[in-house]
Amino acid sequence: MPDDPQLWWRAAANARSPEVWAGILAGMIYVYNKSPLPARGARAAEAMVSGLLAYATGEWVAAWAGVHEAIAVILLASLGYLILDVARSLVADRQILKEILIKRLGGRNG
Amino acid sequence: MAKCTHLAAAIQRHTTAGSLLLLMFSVIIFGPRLWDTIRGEPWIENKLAIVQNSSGAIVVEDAILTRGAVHGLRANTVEAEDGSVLCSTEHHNTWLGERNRFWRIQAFTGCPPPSDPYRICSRFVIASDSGRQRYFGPFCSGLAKPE
Repeated sequence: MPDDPQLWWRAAANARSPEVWAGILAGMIYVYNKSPLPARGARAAEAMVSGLLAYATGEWVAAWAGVHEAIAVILLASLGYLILDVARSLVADRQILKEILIKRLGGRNG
Repeated sequence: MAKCTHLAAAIQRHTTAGSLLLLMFSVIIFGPRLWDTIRGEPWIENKLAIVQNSSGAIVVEDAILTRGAVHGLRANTVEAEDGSVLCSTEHHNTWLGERNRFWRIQAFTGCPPPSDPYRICSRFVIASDSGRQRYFGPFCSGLAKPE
């Protein structure tokens, strides 16, 4: 039933204005082009994560910052993945960071 | 000493002109709001009441409560029962903490008390630390019915 207005994707698409969708798409294209991953599928997945982050949080962030939602989603879609990427690298390096911190604070590991 | 290879690689990936430009835009757009969140948003609460003092004169009781020093514009109005503004006055001021004052209506609003039922209202335009403006009010008294 492609014309059923209750279809989830139709409801999701209608929940945002065309400007907001353009902003999300712009951010996703940026992330796709910037991704260091060689596989197209992996790059598309990164772009998708950014787009979904922007879709999920754009309305709230725009209201919080007092800016137009299209502006908020461009930045969220472009930078959402950057923030996740840095956070993921921090988690991956947690053991080394812990050792560095312990050393700096003058403690002993273990 | 071991190195944070993942973190170094992530930073290297994101220190491109495009990312730095986007970060700069983010700071410009989200920075003021973030700064206000960290510093604490300015906030003001006002309670107005039209009361009779010991000598029988009608005065406005004006109780203000703020969190920290708050600077901005205050507009005081006399409004009819239907909400239409009969007259108004405005002034810049700084408010701090809790204070309770009594004003003659003419001193508070710039016009004498009307003969029909009226209420006194206040609206505030407060500037935050980052310069963003926030609006508070209207804070209104109850309806006063002149005899």
